[in-house]
Amino acid sequence: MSPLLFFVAVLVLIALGLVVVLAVSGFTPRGMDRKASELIEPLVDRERYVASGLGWSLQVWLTIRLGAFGLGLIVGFLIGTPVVILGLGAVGLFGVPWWLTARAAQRKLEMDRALIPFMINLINLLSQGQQTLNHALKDLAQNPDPRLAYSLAPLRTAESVSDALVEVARRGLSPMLERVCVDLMLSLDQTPEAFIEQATKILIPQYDQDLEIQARNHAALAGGRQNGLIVIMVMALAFVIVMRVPSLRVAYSSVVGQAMLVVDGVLTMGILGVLGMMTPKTPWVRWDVAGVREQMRRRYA
Amino acid sequence: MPDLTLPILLLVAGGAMLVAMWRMGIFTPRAVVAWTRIGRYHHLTDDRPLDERLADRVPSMARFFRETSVPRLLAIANRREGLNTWLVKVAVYVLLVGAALTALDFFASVSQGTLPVPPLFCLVLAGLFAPLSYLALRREARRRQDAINREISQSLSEMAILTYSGAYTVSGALDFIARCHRERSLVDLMTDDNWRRLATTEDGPLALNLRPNQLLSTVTIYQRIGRAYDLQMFEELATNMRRIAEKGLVPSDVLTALSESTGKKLAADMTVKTEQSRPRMALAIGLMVLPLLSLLLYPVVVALGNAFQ
Repeated sequence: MSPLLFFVAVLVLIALGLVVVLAVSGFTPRGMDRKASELIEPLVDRERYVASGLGWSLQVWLTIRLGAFGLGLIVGFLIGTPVVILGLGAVGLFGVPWWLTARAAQRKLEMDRALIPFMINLINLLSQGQQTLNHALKDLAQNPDPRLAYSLAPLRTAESVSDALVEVARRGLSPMLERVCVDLMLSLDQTPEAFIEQATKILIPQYDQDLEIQARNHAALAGGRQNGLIVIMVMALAFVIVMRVPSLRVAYSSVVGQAMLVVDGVLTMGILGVLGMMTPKTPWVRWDVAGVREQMRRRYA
Repeated sequence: MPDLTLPILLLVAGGAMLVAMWRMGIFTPRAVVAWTRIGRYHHLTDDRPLDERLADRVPSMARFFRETSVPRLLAIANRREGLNTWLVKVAVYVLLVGAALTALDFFASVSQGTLPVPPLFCLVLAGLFAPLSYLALRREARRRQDAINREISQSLSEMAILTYSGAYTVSGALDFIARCHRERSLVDLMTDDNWRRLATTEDGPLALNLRPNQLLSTVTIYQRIGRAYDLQMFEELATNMRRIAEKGLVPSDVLTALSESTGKKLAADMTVKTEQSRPRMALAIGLMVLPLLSLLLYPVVVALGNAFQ
């Protein structure tokens, strides 16, 4: 039997087996679609989080990412070698967002830090005994801490405080701000005295604890980033040294040499990925603030 | 050296035939077979599967069987399929990978005129997809356990607020907050009696006192969920609910204290993880030697190669 016929026979048998097994397992393309959307959603969420941390909209952020990638490619084309085109494209696509993500995380942490004074001010306002929680929230939103100004803007002109809190959480996109919004929403129907007691006994100690864990998370991420930066700097230095010595550079002018440079780049990016994976992170529960509002409405319906 | 393939093949086939005959009861004395038949009719024999009977005698085996059980992992991962469907799906993946690899091999052989690797190697490589699928299932189950534990531990303050005025019980508050998370793991477990997939049967001594149709208290249900799904927060919640019921404690105070202790534990875990990650990170940075050496040594290798040519 010729090898060609043998291969064709094996492939046909496997294909037939596959069809039978797919039919038995009830495979549907719709299930695949759902799986794809489940995979894509966290990525989009992450981009949205970085964008809001930088104070930009998602469209602006994605445009900047694409722009950085395009710019990297254009500069690469101007220089000429394929490896430089690829390398600068990768720097545009991953390097610029990597650098900006650190800034976004720092701004988010600062915003979260401003939440505890905000709650203390709220308690102080309510302690005077002349306002309900709704009015006190609107009052505080008129002249907020600059770090919270963008997020609290919907409270300034809101008709319904619960609707405004949903919008505040949507703008802030921070797990801690979401939690504060949920807690405020759950407390809206209580007396100011009860809220003051709850906030003093339960909420503020909880936020302190959350903030401490957030700060540790941030410190761990910053450490991981520093390590990454060390790797990038050393590799960049080695690359520059190799390219400045003609006898070393000539080895990289061939196709194999260019391929070796690509392999080195991929290895470096792999090390950065491993560093990212090894950085300890404490995940946070994300609240569906609109869902909380619906639950509260249903409670009184 | 003589070819041992045929003797080994015969040995394996003979061994398999002997085992099959033993399982079919060919070697069992007639009296024992008769007694087994009578015992089965009167429910005097132990008809449970071999792994369960073995687990009864060796506790470490019980733990091993429990940890590696695919139906249990499927239930924890909230997969709808049963064991057989999962096996069929794994077979699909193995066949897909096998077909793809064999096709690649085929095209490579057509273009080069020689066989790069034997087709059997492609199929063996595809077979590795089965353990990979199992590991993925374990990982998915672990992720769901973590998600549920996290959902409860990070919502205890909100449960304390809900129970503060007495409008909600602890279980009512848990039900409320489960619907308020973006992650659906907790609500999926608690709705439509999904928790019954694993937590209906209790193998502890408590079960001896319960009738099969007896209504269970929320505390017992939470305890069973905690044990069956390995969810620590459900067990913590059950213990605290029992304390509330037996000692008349205020639910919001108990939940606040639980939240505080859970937060401290989280912070301590974080410290441990950070310390543990340091040597690993140093190792990852050490890996930088690979691209660095490759970058610096490649021109040297090329130069040496040219010199020898």
